[in-house]
Amino acid sequence: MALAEAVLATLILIATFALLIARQVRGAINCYAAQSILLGGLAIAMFAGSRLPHLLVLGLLTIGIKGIVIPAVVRYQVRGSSYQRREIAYYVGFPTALILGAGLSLVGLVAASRLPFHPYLLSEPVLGLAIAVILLGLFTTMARRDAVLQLAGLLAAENGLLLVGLVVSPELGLLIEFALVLDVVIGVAVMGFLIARMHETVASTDTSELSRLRG
Amino acid sequence: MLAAALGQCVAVATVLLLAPLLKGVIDNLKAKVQSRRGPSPFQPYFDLRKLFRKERSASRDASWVFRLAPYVAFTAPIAFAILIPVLTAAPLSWAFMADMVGSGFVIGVGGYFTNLAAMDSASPYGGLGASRSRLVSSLAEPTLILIFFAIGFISGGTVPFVANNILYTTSALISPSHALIAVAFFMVVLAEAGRLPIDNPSTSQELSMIEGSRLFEYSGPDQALMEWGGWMKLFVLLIVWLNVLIAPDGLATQLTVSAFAIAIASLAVKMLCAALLIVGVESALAKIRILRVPEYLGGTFVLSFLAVVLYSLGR
Amino acid sequence: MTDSILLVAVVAVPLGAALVSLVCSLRFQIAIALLFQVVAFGLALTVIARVLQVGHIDAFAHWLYLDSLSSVVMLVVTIVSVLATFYSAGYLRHELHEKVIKSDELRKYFVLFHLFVFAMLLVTISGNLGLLWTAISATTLASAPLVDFYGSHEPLEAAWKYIVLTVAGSLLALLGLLLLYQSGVGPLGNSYDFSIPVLAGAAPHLSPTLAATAFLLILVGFGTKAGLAPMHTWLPDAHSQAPSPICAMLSGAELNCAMLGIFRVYTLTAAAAGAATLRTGMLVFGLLSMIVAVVFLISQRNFKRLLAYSSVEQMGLISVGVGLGNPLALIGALLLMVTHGFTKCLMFFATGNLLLRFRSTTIREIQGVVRAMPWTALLLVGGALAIAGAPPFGVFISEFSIIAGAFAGHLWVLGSLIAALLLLGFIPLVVPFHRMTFSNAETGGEVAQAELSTLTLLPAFILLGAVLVIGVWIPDPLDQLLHHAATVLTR
Repeated sequence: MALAEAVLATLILIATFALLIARQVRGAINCYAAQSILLGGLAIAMFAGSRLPHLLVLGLLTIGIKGIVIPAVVRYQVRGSSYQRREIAYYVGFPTALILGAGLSLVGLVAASRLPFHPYLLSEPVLGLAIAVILLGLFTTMARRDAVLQLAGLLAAENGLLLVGLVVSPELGLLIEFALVLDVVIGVAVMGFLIARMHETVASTDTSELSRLRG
Repeated sequence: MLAAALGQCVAVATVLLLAPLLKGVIDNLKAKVQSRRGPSPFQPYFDLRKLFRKERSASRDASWVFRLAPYVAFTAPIAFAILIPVLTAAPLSWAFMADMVGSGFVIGVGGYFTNLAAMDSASPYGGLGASRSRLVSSLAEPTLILIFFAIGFISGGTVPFVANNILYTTSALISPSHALIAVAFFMVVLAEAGRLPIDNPSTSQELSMIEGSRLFEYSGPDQALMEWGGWMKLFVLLIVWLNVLIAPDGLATQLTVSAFAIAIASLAVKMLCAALLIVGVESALAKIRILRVPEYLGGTFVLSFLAVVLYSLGR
Repeated sequence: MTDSILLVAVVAVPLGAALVSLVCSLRFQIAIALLFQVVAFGLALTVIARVLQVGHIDAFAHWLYLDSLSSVVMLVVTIVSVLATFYSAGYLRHELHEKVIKSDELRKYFVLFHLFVFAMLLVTISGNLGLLWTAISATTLASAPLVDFYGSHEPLEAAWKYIVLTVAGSLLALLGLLLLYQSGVGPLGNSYDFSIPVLAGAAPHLSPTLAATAFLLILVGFGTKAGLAPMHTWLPDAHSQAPSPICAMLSGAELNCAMLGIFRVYTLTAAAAGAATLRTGMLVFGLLSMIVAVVFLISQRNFKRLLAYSSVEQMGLISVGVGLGNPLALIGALLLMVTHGFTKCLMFFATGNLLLRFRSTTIREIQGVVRAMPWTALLLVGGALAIAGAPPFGVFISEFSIIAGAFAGHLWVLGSLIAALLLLGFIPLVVPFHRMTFSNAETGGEVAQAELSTLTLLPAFILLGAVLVIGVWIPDPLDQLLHHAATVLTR
C-alpha cells in the first residue's frame, strides 16, 4: 500500500473524530466536507496506482458532490441563523463522546482484524479505519440533538461505507458507489427539506424540541 | 572521534542559529496570510541583540531559582539536540546518553525551571501561567508516553536514532498507525511549544496567556535566553517530528562536509514546510478555551492509543 | 424475453405515473392514479402468474430477478397499493372537502405515492443486491415526506425519527452487503456479478465468518426498517402520523419489503454460515419484538399506535417463523406476511374512516361507532378480531401453523411462549375497538348516521373478504406460491 492511501485513510478517521467533537454546526459541516475531500483524494490516489478509470470518476464525484455541493446546500439551509456558531445541544458530552469514540474505533479495528479479508488494493488496517469511521458517524447521530449534526453523522458514516467499498473491491462496479452518491443526494434533499421544515415549525433544529410522541 | 564531536557541534550550532529564523519565518508568513507586510524573517536576531545589550533587572525577593532558570531553559533544548538526529542518520558519540523517555526528561527540566521561576517571582500572572502550562504538560504526558511506546514497538528500540533508522529502512513508515502517531505528535508539539490552538504566542492579553505570562518578570539577557530557549524548544520538537517520525530523508550518513551541507539544506526545506503547516493551522484555528485543552490533548491521546492498537493488531 | 419486459413494465408504470402526476393538472390526479395503479396491479398479477408457471424470471444479466419468495411480497405490495389508491381517492376527496388539505397538495401526495409504490415493487424484482439495497432505501426516502404530509409538529417529528433511524439501519445493512460481497471473493474472484443467482450458485463456498457477520448486520439493518425491536422506536410514530392510506402501505407492504431483504440474504448465507446460527439470530430478534410489542400494546391509548405496535408484534412473529425453519413454520410465516399485510391495511382503512369522522386518534374520545358508521363498525370489529388472531380469519391460520411448527420441532417452551404472547396481545387489540364501536355516546348527544363514501369502504371490505377466505380455504395458486417460496427459504 502506498504512502498516500495510508495517510489519507488515517486523516479521514481524524476528520470523523473532529466531527464527533465539533461544537458548532458550521464546524461540523466543515469536518464533513474535509472528510469527503480526503475520501475523494484517496480514490484518486488509488486511481494513480491502479489505473482503474472509475476510481477517478468516483473520486471527482465525491469531491464535487460530497465535498462541495452537499456542504454548501446544508450551509444554505441553516444560513443566517445565529445558531450556526452557537454551541450545539447534545445528549453525550464532548469528553465522554471522545472516550466512547475511542472505544468504538477500537471495536472497529479489532473487528476488521478478525474478519478473514483478502486485501486487494488497500490493506486490512484501512478496513479497520473504515469500520471505525462508520461507527463514529452513527455514534455522532445518536449523541447529538441537533438535526444538522445528526445528518452530518449519517453522511460521515456513509463515507466510511464508501471506504469499505474501496477496500472490499474497487472493481465492484459503479453500482454501489453510484447508489451511494445518488442516495446521498436524494437523502440530503429529503433530510434537508425536513431540516428546513424544522426551522419554520419549531424555529430551531434542536430535535429535543421534537419529543411529543411517546409510548 | 574528532569528526563525530565536530558533527555534534555542528548539529547544536544548527539548532542554536536556525531556531530564531524559524520563529521569524513563521511570524513573517503569518503576517503575509493576514495581508500584512509583517516583520522581517530576521527580526528575532535583532530582538536578541537588543535584549542582550539591555540591563538585567530582577525582583528583590527573587531567589537563586529565578536567576538560574534562564540558563536551564536555554541549555535544555541544546542538550536535547545532542540526543536526536538533527543532521545525521547515524548516532553520534553522545547520542546514547538517554533514550526517548530520558530526552523527554531533559526537555522537561527546562519547562520545570521556567515554572519554578515564574512562581518564584510572586507575580500573579507568573503563577497563572505556570499552573496552566503544568495543565498542558501533564495532559500531554500520557500521549507522549504512548507515542514512545508505539515507536518502541515498531522499531524495537527507544533511542531516537535507532527509531529513526528502523523507521527509515522498513515499510513501517507508511502504515496508518504511523500516520496516527505523526498527527498526534504534531498536535502535542503545538501544545508543548505554546502555539495555537492552545496558546496564542502573539497575544498581548495577559489573562489568556500561558507561555508569555511566565516570562513577564524577565528582562535583558535573561529574557533573551528564555525566549531563545523557547524557540529552540519548538525547533527541536519539530526536528523529532520531521526526522524521526515522518521525513528522515536527506540526513547525513557519513561525516563529510558535503553530506552535512545537504543535511542542513534539507532540514531547512523541511522546516519551511513545517512552518507553512503551522501558519496554516494558526490561521485556520482560533485559540480554544483553557477548559477545552483537556479535550484537545485527550484527542491526541485517543489517536496515539489507536495507533498502538492498530500496530499490535497488524502484527 | 416477454417476461423481462413484463418485469420492467411492472415498475415502469408507477414510475411513469409519478412523472405524469408531476406535470398533469390537479383535476386529473386521482384519475391518473387509479388508471396507472390498476394497470400496474394487472401487470404484477400477470408476472406472478408467470412465476407460478416457470419458477423464476431472471432478466437483464441478473439485474432483475423474481422468484416465488419475492412474488409473495409482490402480491401483498401490489394488492395493498392498488386498494390504497382507491382508498386515497375517497380519503383525500373528503379531506379536500373538509379543507384539511389544499388541492395543490394532491400533486405532492400522488407523486410521492407513485414513487413509493415504484420503490416497493423494485425491491421485489431486484436481482442485484446493490439494487435491492438502493430500492429498500428508496422506500424510506419516498415515504418520509408522506409521513410529514400534514406538516405540523408531530408528523415532522415522526418523519425525522423515521428517516434518521432507517437510514442508519440501511447503512449497517450496506456494510453487511459489502462483507457479503467480500465473502464471495474466495470462490468467485475479485470482481464478480453481485446478484442473487450468482451468489446462490456459490453459496456453500462463501467465507463462513464473513457470511455470518454479513447476515447479522443485515438483520439489524433491514430489521430496523422492518420494525424489529429494539430498533422499532420510529415505527409507532411514523405509522400513526402519516395519512391513513400511507399508514396502510407502510404497515401492510413496506415492512414486508424489508423482511424480504433479510430473507434474501438468509437464503444466500445459510449454506456457508450454518442455518442454525442465522435462525437463532432471527428467533432472538423476533421474540424480543413480540415481547416489547405486547408490553406497549397493553398501555396504548391511541388506536393508530395500537395498530403500529401490533405490526411490530406480527413482524416479530414472522421473523420467529422463519427462525424456526421447518416447513410448517415457514409456510405460516409467509402466509402471515400476506394475511398481516391485508388485515393491517384493512384496519388502517377502517380507522382512517374514524379519523375522518371524529378527528381524533384517542380511543376514549370515540364512542358509538356502530350507530354513526355501521359499515365501518363492521370493518373495525371484524378487522380487530382478524388482526388479533381469532379464527376463522387468515391471521389465525398463519399464527397457528407457526406455533404448530414450533411444537413439531419439539420446541415446547418456545411454542408455548409464542402462544402466550399472542394471547396477551389479543385482549388489548380487541377490547379498544369493541369499546369504540359499541359503547354509548354519553356526551355530545346523538351522532348522525353517515358513512363517508363507497371508495373508503369497498377496499376495506375486499380485504376483509380476502382474509376471511384465506382463513377458510387457501386458494390453490396462493398455496402453490407459498410452498415454492418455502422451498426457496429452505434451499
